[in-house]
Amino acid sequence: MRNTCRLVFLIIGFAIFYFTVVFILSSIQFKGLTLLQILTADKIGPGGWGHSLLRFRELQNIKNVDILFVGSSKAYRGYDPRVFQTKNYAAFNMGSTSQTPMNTYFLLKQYLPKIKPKVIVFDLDITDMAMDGYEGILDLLANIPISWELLEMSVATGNPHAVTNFLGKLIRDQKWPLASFDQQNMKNDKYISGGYVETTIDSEWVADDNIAKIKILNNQLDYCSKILELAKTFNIPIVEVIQPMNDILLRSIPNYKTIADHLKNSAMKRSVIFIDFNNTMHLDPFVDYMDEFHLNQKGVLKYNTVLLDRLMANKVLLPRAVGPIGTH
Amino acid sequence: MAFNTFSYLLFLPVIFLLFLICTDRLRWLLLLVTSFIFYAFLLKPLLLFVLLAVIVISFFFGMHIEKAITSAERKKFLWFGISGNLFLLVLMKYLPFTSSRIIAIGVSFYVFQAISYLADIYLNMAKAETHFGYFALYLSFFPKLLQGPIERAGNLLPQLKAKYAFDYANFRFGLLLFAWGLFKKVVIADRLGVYVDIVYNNVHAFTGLPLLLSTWAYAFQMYMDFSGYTDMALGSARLFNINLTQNFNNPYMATSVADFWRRWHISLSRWIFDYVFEPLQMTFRSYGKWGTTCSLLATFLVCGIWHGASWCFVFWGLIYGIYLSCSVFYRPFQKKLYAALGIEKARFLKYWRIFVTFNLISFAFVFFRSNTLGDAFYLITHMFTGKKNLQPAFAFSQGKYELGFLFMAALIYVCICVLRKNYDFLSFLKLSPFKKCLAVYSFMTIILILGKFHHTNFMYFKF
Repeated sequence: MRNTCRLVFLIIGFAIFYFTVVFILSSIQFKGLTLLQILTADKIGPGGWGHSLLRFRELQNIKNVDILFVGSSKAYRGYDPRVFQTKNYAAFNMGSTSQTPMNTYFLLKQYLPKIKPKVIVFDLDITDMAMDGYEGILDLLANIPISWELLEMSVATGNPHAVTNFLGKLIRDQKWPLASFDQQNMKNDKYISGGYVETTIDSEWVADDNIAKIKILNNQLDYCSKILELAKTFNIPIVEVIQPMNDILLRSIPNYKTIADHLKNSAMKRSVIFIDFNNTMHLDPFVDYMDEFHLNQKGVLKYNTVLLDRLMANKVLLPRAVGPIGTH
Repeated sequence: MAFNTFSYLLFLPVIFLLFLICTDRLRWLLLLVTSFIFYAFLLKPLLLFVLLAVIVISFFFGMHIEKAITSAERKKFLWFGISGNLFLLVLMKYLPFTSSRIIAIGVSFYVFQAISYLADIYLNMAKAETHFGYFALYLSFFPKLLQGPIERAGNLLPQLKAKYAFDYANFRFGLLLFAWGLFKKVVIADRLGVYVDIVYNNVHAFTGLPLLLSTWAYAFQMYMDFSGYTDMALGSARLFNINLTQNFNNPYMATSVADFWRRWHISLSRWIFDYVFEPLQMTFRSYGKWGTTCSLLATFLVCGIWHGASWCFVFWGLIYGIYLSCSVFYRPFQKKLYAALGIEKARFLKYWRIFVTFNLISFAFVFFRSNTLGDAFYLITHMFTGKKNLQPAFAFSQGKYELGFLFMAALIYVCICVLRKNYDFLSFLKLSPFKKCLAVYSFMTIILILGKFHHTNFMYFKF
């Protein structure tokens, strides 16, 4: 009994000590980053990367959109709400840097009750599904307000740095409130209302001949299923989509078909529409892509037009008379 | 499940609490079941069957060796047992069909342990275990399952059978040793790994100093990674009052290559010495020094191949074979020379020998780490050529602070090594309770803040 008490006392003592250290390190800022961020190699300050600060600020005032896009940078650079507005659909892009299905799940858990979209387009980025979600959470920790879901997400990464940085954010946000920051301008990027980031780069990349299997993490597959279940509980139809990847990248992933088949089967089991655009659409690697992974504006326009037609053909979106949008 | 994951940090306390609640009669069963669960976390069901097969084969033939009346029969059962185990090892590790599909994590470690068990019974150095459960636990005990140490039956079995009584000192020491291992792995080894990987995965982009520095860095990364794992294994086992074999003893303070092998991966070195080198030397004893040379070359060739079916490992093994074979001939002359110069006890000679030995080891590590034999030869031939420019050597880091953190971590490591006496953390703990708490808390905080917690496996997993 004495030893148990001793152990409990030691654990509580450590928690207090640790929080004190985190408090001190989070109270000292150096070139826009706290000492804690520097020590834990978390290099994203508020307003940094992916325009998440603007996107999630805009999200505060959004209600009842028609289409909600979720996913990684491929999503926020790959779905232009203006294309969907031409057919009178209000769309919002909730993509964020390296957003894995795990990050997506907790974001949806937090924002779905408020946004209540008519349909969710879940962009499956298989390259990000090999990651534990730590990179994804760094962007969110820097740019969105504290929430219970953000804490859950930090714990779910299984990375102690995520929890430490969450504690750091608690302290940092008191001293330097998120509202006091402005979105930093990213070179060659322009934020478009509705969460989209438009690039001015046409094509700026060189192909290499690396070939590497992608090892998808099992827990990311579990979160894909959880997202489908979550949408079901809110009675919101969800469409799983794989963007057209450039041929060179596609060839460099020898197990692509196995992964895509697995995701397709999982979607079909739940009667969810699954569209792999790599089977039906071909884009030019050096005309339609800004880099190895992301579409440029030309590619986005081509892809979004086809996607919109597919969504309408599948009756996920019902035709609307073109006119003013009242839901945005 | 690797020791540096969140899952293990939850798994270990849960198992320990269950172990405390259990009665002595059931503790072995709890540890056995949890060891299999621990192995099952790798999500490779085939590996569970291999472990079970090794246990059954070794238990069965161990009993038969002991019961056999004639020495011919004993020998027959010994070879059946060894062949069965080796068959599984070769099947899992060297045949392209299985080895390309599955990484045989842990297999070589428990197969070697099973072979030593059979050989010890054959040589009357140990008794065959009659309780299948204890025997299964001896081979599968989770702290040493994936990367050793390779335990002898005489050391581990009695400890597994002993009655358990909670010992606070043991518990505290176990946790500290675990934390120490975690520090070595996530704070030092993984930070060094960033640099080593950048250079070794693209060697042709570098010349000169970066190649030399990354080779030295790899030597330290390997030591920190592997000894870190061992410390975590020893620390975990200590919670259950089990002392596993110490696997490292300041290997980079070795004054010769032979001395290095007495300090590095001690359980494997002893195994290879006892079960490969000694029988070979007995066979070739009539050939004198040349017999010893042949035995050394063959032994280290086996050691190289054990690490993997690649030419790099074969070369790595051969290099050690050559080092040690040469020493058989030059050692007597060296001794005479030192005696004639009167420097055999000189301090500078000791440091000089440490420096030379470290560089010989680092040279061998080039083959161990290189992705291909071509990369290894490129590295060796370009290590002292190119621009004498430090910039590429330090331009590795993603952030400019990385090098500073690495230096800081190394400093903390050296300070703790100086403060503690050998592995006696308790000497370091002879401080006032407040200072003691502060020291331990600070150390844990350093691990949590400076550690790298991305999914990086231990380097010896693949062997």
